[in-house]
Amino acid sequence: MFSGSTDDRETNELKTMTSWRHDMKNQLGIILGFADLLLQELDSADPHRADLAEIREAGARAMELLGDLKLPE
Amino acid sequence: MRAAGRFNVLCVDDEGGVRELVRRCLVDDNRLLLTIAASGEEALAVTPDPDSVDLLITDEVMPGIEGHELARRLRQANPNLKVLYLTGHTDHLFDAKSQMWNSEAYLDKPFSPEGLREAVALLVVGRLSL
Repeated sequence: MFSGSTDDRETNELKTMTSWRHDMKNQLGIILGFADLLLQELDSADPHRADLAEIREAGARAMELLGDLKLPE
Repeated sequence: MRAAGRFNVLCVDDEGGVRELVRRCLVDDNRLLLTIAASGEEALAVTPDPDSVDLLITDEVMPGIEGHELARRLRQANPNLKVLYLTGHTDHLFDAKSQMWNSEAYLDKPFSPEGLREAVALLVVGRLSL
């Protein structure tokens, strides 16, 4: 059953989206942080560096896309 | 009582990956004695002597006690406590706190390992490296 005004519903949806974006940033931050740590620790000739750099780049791109996401005012 | 030149750091975040990331960023520096907690409540429980804590690193938005409230409670017993807020919710932090004190800083998530290490060093010794 519907209850509450349209404004209430929109406010709740905005809160949910804001919280979702915060959670996504948290998870992407963990991916980027561990990728940075490993890139610092691996030898420059380590064969895994290129794969790790791809992971880091994709994580950074995902973060940009998240930043581009426009939430309603 | 802490050993000279060593700093007790209490890290609090409800996200396990962030706790582990902070630990990995700081654990190799043997001047930092890390205590990790998953909530404000756990942080208070594992800190029987708040006066021994040099630096609190805390998430702001957490279930239960939020970061600024945890800092306020620990400061009641330890006015010299330094605080580093890790937050992806800067707006929320400044809704809750109208100003930052001299001994406080915030680091926006996502943070880099270097950014975290530099922020910790700035707060505990006043320069970019320990």
